[in-house]
Amino acid sequence: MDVREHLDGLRRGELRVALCRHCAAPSFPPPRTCPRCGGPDPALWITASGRGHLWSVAEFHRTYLPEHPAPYPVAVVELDEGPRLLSTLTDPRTPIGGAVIAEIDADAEPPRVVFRPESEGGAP
Amino acid sequence: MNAAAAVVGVGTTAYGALGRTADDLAGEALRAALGDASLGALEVDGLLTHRVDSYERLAAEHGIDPRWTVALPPEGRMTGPALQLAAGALRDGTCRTVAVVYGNDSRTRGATYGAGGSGSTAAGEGYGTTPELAAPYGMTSPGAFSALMLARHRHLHGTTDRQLGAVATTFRRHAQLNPDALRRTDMTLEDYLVAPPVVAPLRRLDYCQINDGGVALVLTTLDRARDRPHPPVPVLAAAQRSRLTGSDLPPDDFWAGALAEVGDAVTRASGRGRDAVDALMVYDNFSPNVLFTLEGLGWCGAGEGGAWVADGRIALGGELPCNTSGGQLSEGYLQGWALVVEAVRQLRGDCGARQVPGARTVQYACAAPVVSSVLFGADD
Repeated sequence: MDVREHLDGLRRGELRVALCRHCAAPSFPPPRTCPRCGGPDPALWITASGRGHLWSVAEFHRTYLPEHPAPYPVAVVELDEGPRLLSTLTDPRTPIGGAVIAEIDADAEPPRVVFRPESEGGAP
Repeated sequence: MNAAAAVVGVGTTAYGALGRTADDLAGEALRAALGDASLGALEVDGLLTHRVDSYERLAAEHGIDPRWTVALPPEGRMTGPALQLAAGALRDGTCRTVAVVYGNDSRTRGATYGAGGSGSTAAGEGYGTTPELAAPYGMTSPGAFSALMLARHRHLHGTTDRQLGAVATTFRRHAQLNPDALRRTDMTLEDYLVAPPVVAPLRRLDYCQINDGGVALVLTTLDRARDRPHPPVPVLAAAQRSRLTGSDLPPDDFWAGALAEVGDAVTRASGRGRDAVDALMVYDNFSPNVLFTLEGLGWCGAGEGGAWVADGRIALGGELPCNTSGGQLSEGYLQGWALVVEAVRQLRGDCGARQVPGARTVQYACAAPVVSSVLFGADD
């Protein structure tokens, strides 16, 4: 699926995700046909607030790839706007269901969005 | 019974680190299955291959020139669909005798299901259909996908480590009754609990073991099947339901909706209710899938899988013996095919110390982005 808009957004420091322009369902990564309403080319890109909650998290204790040395968490975050995405956490102890907020590392290659617990310090 | 197709031959190779090609192993299994059915290669007019490198070479090498040839991609989720296809080709008269042939050399090739390769099985550098969203976060492996599902299940339902440990320890005890199983050493619940994590909350003992091996089945129409040396094992019904949209992330319902649909479809089509199922062969690439499958098929309520397995229900002698061969966790990971063979052997009454007494109906089920189930019966 074409996620260049998302990756280009991260490079600008923006969290870009998509909703279906026909039925408003989450549409990320964006399919060519919405599986909910059948509408064509549904991606309506929005800039998300960065607020969401942790849907699930798993912690790698095995290093599969040298650029990702274990241990590290992989998270599924549900944004307040609806879309879910894979990410990682600043604090692997973040509870599932807990509120999180995005921090964008625009200079990484590829650029990444990382989530921290909302209760932690830092600008909203 | 209105089954049109039946298994008349099964063939398996050794499993493990064998240093042989997938096609070589598939060919050995094919010859064994034909021998088991007392049929010659020239009688095969349908060929379905799964994970072999070259269906063309396999057919040419073994003298098979079928009127119907299908080659399926390597994912284990294709095992149920393979049987559905083969049974359909026999039912509609396309074929009289179908060989279903599987070969896997991923152990010898060094597959890790987490680094390198491509596609959803090899997982490559990023998991799923959009690796550029997965790779930056180190999301590389199908095991991590299962770990995310388990973590969510624990959050919603309080599933405990001790409950999940019943899956691996029960299947290990079953494997100890199966001379062909790869992992047969004692495993207590305490052993399970101290096993190191791979992708937490999954432990190493929640993972199947990558290995090589070949499996083949020969199916024919039920009337012909009754002339073969072994009791025929009819394919009573088969069904599948995909959850491919959105499949880069774990499903909200742990595939329960699709599992309920295929479970209802096979029991309705066969005329045998769930209560008639004497044993369940469940796709245990990772042990949480056993909980999800039991819940989805309705053996227990949503979220109750952990409690349901914790007190012996899935063990031999229990309410629903599961994976009596040791399953993929302990017998060996043949992407569902060894579980299918176990279903056939149970219904033939060939399982010795692990035989489910009087087994008449055995179900195969796989929870994955293509959910499937196949119901096998003893001939009436």
